[in-house]
Amino acid sequence: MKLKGIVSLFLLVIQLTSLGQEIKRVVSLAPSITENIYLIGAQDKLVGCTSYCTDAIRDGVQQVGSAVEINMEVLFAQQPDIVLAMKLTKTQDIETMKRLGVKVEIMDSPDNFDEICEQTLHIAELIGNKQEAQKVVEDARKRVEKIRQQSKQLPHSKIFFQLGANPVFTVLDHTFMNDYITFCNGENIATGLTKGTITRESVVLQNPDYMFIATMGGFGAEELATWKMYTGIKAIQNGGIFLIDSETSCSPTPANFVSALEDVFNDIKRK
Amino acid sequence: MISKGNSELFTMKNRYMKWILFSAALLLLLLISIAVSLLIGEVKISLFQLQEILNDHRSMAYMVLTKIRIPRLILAASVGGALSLSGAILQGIYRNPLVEPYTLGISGGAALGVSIAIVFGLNTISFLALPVFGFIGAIITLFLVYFLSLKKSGLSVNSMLLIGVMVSFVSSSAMMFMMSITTTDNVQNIVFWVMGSMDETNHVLIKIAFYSSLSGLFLAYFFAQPLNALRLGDAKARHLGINTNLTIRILFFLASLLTGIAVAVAGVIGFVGLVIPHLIRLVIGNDYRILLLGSFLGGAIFLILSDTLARTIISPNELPIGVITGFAGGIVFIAVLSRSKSHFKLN
Repeated sequence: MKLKGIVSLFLLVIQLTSLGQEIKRVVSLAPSITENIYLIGAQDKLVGCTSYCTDAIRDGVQQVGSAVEINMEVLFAQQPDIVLAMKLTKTQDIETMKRLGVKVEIMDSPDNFDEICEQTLHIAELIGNKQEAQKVVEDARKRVEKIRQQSKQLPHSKIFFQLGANPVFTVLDHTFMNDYITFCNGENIATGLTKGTITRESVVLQNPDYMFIATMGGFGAEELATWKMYTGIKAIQNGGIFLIDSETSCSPTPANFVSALEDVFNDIKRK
Repeated sequence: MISKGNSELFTMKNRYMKWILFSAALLLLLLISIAVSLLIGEVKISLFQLQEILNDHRSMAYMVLTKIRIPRLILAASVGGALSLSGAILQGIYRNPLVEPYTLGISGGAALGVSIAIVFGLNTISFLALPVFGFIGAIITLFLVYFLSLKKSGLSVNSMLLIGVMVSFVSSSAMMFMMSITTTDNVQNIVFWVMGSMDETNHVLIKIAFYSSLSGLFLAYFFAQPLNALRLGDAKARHLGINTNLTIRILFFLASLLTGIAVAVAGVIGFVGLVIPHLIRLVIGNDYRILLLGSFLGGAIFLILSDTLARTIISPNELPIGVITGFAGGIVFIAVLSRSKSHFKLN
């Protein structure tokens, strides 16, 4: 009991002394966080990442976990000043990190473009490079605003944005991906739904003008071929069905958002 | 006074009449479930409009009917029939009421095959890659279980069962390993595949599932009497002139192939192969001459209705079909079992 108290006190002292210190070693537990770190030019501080943070792995950053598990020993061995994680990270892992005296910052999945920008600025506040982050966010906001203005010239359209297959999974209206649709003067056919799984029949019934299918690790092409069989849908009749890169469109960073939004806008504009 | 011969003839006739009535009732239920499945959904279709819709190839209802509901219906009937038939056969050859098509590791093998295809991006080569790899996984498991169970004295049924369960665990661990080294996209794709779905629109795959399940039923009928003899035990069946080793081998391969094809096309759908044969047994008895057909039709009806529920109950959202088969199958099974005074008997 006494020993436990001493250990807790020791960990508390470590945590308190680390407050206000300059962050030099960062571990990221989500690819979007890693991408944000690269975006604000703070990659030299990155000492740990997950197995799906491709840029960081290419640069030789230590992998500390996979899509489903974190190797706590490897993570701790990097002696991070801070660990940046999303809410998807297992609670047990977060508790273990805290017990080990590691500072952990948990972030929410952004619900819209503004929150994506805020998250980038928040990461910069935590680890440094605030000016660079401001520049990135301002640039993204300008480009987004330009597309929004141009989109006013586009006719209002019904859009279906597919994220998963078997069962069909759609973008919901309270997620940042819904902004791809609304910023292009579109209306999400899944507006009002609370769950992403949607029947094919419902999509056919909604008769969207445009359909965007995320690549989904190769499943997108298969889905594209499947949808083309439904020749009665307006999007199919008018050639308004497009594949869109999952890695860019699903990973919430200002740069990815703008890039995916430009793809959606250009696809609609061409038709 | 009725002689003993006449009495037996009367009992036999009575039994056949019961079987005919039972089959007719199942066929009627099948027709009702087909009608329910075709008419219920987001797009309202009335029975009286059916002819009109089928003539108007440009209408939304025609597209929904021909491109969504009919393919799903055929696939659900084929997969349900195949899994249930496979369960009935396996319970017969193992003389164990808890055996189902997935106990022998077939689904685990198929799931591993599909996981490998997804992780290595082979699904980008062709739309057939996943079913083909699923089927290859199932076949490898099948041969693995078979050859590991072979002993000098012949085929050991108990070893087959134990090895099947172990192979299933190994496949499951291997699948978890694949999931832990891959991307989130791939993990999601594997998870959704494992949950099972009738959302398959490829005509080739649907035809394969349909014809193989019907062929399976046809072939199984050549072994209806040997299966009846096996109910008495291996030794007694041999005394009755049944080549038990050969019969068990053929039926094992037949049931495994049926399961392999069903899993490869529709993913892992639990409970059908376990629950339906038992329900049929409770109603009509253990004679395989009627049990095989009853299980096939019962499985088809069950999966057609489950799929209809899956796509309509929280419409426009869709539930994984495994949720429905698990809940419905389990609850109905427990209810029937608790009301039934007789215990399960396979002989």
